[in-house]
Amino acid sequence: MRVFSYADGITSSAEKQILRKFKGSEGKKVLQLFRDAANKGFVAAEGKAGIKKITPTKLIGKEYTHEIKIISSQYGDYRIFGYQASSGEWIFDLFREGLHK
Amino acid sequence: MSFDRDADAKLLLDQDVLFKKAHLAMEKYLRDWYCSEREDFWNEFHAAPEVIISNFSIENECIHVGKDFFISNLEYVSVSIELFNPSQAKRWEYTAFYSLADDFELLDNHLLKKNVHRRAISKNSSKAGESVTWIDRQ
Repeated sequence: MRVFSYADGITSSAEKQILRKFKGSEGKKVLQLFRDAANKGFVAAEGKAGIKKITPTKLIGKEYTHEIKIISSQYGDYRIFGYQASSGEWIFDLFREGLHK
Repeated sequence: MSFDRDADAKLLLDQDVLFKKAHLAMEKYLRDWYCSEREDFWNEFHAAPEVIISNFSIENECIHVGKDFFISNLEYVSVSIELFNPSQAKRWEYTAFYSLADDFELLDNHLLKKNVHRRAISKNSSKAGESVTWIDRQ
């Protein structure tokens, strides 16, 4: 029996967005950072890698309730946004930057 | 976009408080990173968090007020602190984001390697769905 992890919720669409932004091995490295962070599970708002709750808005899409946050001095301001589908599975399909100064 | 004048005044008065909050949040961020990803942390800084806090040059950089319509739809204030390690000649910038609506609750934070080009872009333009007001600390 296969055990599903949170990282399985990162969709091919999000992977493509990452690989479009970061070419070659850099893209794979960034993807792995997100996979590792997702598998850490849920974290509070403060500075830890993992899945973090956000306040959904109309512009990002009301369905987006969580983000995967990574800790990295190079890619730390990027996020993958996602939600839990009615079936219970987690879907992380939107890659973009988080808050900016 | 415009911000409430009273809120702006309060923010200006509270700059020192915000920088102190951000310093504490940064120390926690460094310790959490060191505890969870020790190898990555060491590769990045070649030092433990306590050494960074005591030996690196740490300077208050700036405070911004912004709004991100895509994610939180909240007015927030970002507080940036620069870390410099003279022996590596490397700079990092820690930024903590606090909610303006919710008693300066910490919304998010990150620590990035400093890049002059990136800083020049962020100072001169704001991205779509985002509005930023600069309050540079003198």
